[in-house]
Amino acid sequence: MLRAYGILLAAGYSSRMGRCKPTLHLGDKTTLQTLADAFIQAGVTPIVVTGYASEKIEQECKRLNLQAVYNANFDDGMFSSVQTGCNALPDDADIFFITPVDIPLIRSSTITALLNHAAKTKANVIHPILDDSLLTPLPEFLHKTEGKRGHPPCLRASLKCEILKYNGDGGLAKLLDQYTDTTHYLPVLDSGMLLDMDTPEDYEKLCRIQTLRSVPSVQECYAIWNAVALPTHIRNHSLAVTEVAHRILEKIPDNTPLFKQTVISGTLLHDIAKGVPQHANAGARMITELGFPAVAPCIATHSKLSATEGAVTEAELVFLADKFIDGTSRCTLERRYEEKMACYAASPEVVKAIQQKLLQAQAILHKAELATGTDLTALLTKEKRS
Amino acid sequence: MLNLIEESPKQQHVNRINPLDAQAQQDMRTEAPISQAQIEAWQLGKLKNVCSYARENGTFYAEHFRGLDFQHIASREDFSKLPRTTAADIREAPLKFLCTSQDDIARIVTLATSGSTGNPKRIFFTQDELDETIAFYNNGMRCLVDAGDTVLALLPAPKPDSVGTLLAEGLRSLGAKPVLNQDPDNVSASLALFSKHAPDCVVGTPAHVLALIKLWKHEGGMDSPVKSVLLCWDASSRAVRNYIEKEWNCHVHTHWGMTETGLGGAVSCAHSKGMHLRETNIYVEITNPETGLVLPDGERGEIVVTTLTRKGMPLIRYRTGDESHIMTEACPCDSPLRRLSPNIRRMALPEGTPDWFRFITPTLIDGVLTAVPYFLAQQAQYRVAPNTLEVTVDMSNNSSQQLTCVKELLCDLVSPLYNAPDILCLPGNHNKKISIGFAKRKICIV
Repeated sequence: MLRAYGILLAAGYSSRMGRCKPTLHLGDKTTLQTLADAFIQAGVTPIVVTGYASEKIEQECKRLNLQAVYNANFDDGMFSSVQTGCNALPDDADIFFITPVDIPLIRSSTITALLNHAAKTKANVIHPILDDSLLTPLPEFLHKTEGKRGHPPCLRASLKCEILKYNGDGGLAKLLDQYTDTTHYLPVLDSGMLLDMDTPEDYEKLCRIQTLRSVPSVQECYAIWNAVALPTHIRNHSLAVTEVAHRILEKIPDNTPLFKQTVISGTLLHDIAKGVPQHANAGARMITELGFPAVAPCIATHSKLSATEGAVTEAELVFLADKFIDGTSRCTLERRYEEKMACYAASPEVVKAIQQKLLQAQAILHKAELATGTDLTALLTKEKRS
Repeated sequence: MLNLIEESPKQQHVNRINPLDAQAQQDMRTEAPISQAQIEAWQLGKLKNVCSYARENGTFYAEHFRGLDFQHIASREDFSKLPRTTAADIREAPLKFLCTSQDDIARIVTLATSGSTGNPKRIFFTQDELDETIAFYNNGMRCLVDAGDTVLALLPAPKPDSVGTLLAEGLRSLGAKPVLNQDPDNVSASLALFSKHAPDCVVGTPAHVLALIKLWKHEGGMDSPVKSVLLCWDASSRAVRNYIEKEWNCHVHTHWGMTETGLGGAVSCAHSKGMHLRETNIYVEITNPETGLVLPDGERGEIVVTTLTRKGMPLIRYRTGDESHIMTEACPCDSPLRRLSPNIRRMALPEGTPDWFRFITPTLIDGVLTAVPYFLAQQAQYRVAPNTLEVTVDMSNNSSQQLTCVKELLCDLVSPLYNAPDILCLPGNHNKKISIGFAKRKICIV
């Protein structure tokens, strides 16, 4: 097991925010806590570098039981804080991460992935990237230029001396450029690692995203497609299903207790295990292993589901949207099931079972129509014509 | 019709060899390149000499160093065990520091005290020492300018041996042309000289240079002729340095020095943000303020200064009350002269100041306010009750809207702080004059 430390830079002026960023709340936790917890969960010890407004941040570190080091040269810029953090690294460090506190929504799974990669390779520098290209995964030679580079870089402890000796021109990025030969770019499933929190508008956005973190973002769904090398025709099918879901969600009143993001990621990911026997359950297992158990139920039930009592659920909408799409084209429930029944006309038991399925699908459609107050079949098929 | 104007690119001044090295070689009487170890050994010899000299010739050090053995000093650590000298010692009896006859003194600088009580500090210089300063200005300015360049100096030069005059002499001896505005608080006068002479280099305090740029921009200035700027006298924030570099597309150098060091102390070369020390004239130690012992390079502590060559009024282990550190990263100019970080701050804060006081400095406020178009300069004072930071803003035009903008920026600046003060913005001058002067700026407490 590698000994790893995370240098969290919290020494800046927060000038565009106008408030002390590290102690702002993102949901139940402060920004600093959110970020520090991601490292701690991955087995990494955070070291917080303070500077401007250090009393407030040191107080917060104390509350969270985090080590804080003060950078008296914080006005020299972020690189001086990087150096202060490096100076505070214990001698037993094998690996260290560096990230500003302004990027608080890094997933713990990203840090774990970087650590695992560091353990398996001899890379000196590992940058996490998000590969959210829509049609096909990026080939490795394009990771550096076309992947979206996020935080934190993962560095071998031997780089500490180089950082302490460096004069700071161009910052850490410029220094790391000298190690291109031993730099790796690791695709991870994390769009939070790209999100800065500099302005009050950013803060509002991050607060919103924070509440949805158990569910993959759209960008992360694309990254998952690439991670599992999902075939193009399934991507196109999934996008068509997602468009239907989107149309239905537009008609759902805002006060309905429902996570729209779960429906969208559910439709984007429902077929990630297509081709594997019992692909719905296999997909649910797969997404759980990738770190997003919240969408697993939607995937597990997308081919077979009975309507429940009460308000319409996310899983029901994913199921329903999938039934309105055949390949990449819109169709009605009846036509879809009738076609299947025609295929199995010779075996009455199968026809009966399909009949049963149709009834179940219609029951869910009925629920969704009650919730939206809309004739969904008319809405979706009329649109198809236009 | 199209007018094609051919623009000649600005020649950036880059010296391959640090000009201060040549001076050091000359002082150490060697022609070969010198190493840090050689400088250290040379300095130790000089330190022992100056200690003996001061004890023999001046009454203060006769008392201060009574019974001490200087010959056993073999390292920087040994030297740092000697007792220190304070500003209070000089204030109390400046004449006791004098080691020559008063007839040899060519100039006396009187420094008003920062507190309201006590005598002012008086510092004596002989003609040789003034010549040394001119030589340092000559070599130091070679880091920034070439022969034939025009230098606009926003520095006082009311008397023959004042800093502006000494700088002008240093510049003339390297073949550059000095232009002086002796009243830099009059920003329109600075701008008139700037427009008339199109200087290659501007020297002044961070506040005066900033005010000049702001007014120049306000009056439509574009494509500055300036290739380098030297900020002296006072601390500068990174934001102010960056702003100057960006607006004038020039390289900003910083200078550190105090009257006690003979005005010149350290200056940054063309490559670096750190300031190379004038090692053969003054010896700088970064010390633990409690014990006075020297700290390893890279660690922050109090700057303690010893003059190496001064005959009239040598100062040994003089406590400056300022905090900085020796930079450890390599400088591309390869000079063996150690570098002082430009991040220099007062150590002791006045009593009764809140925690945030150490973060908010005049130059930091300037840096934030560069974003305001009409802004020229500001003075801040802190009112303890009610907890308020009062900022008087000099602007190039009277604009209540921009004053509101100033207030917003300052509120954003202080709000992350613990016990943040309220901000009160007051309109200052809007006649293109500012009220900065040459005292080291600080936020007064009322």
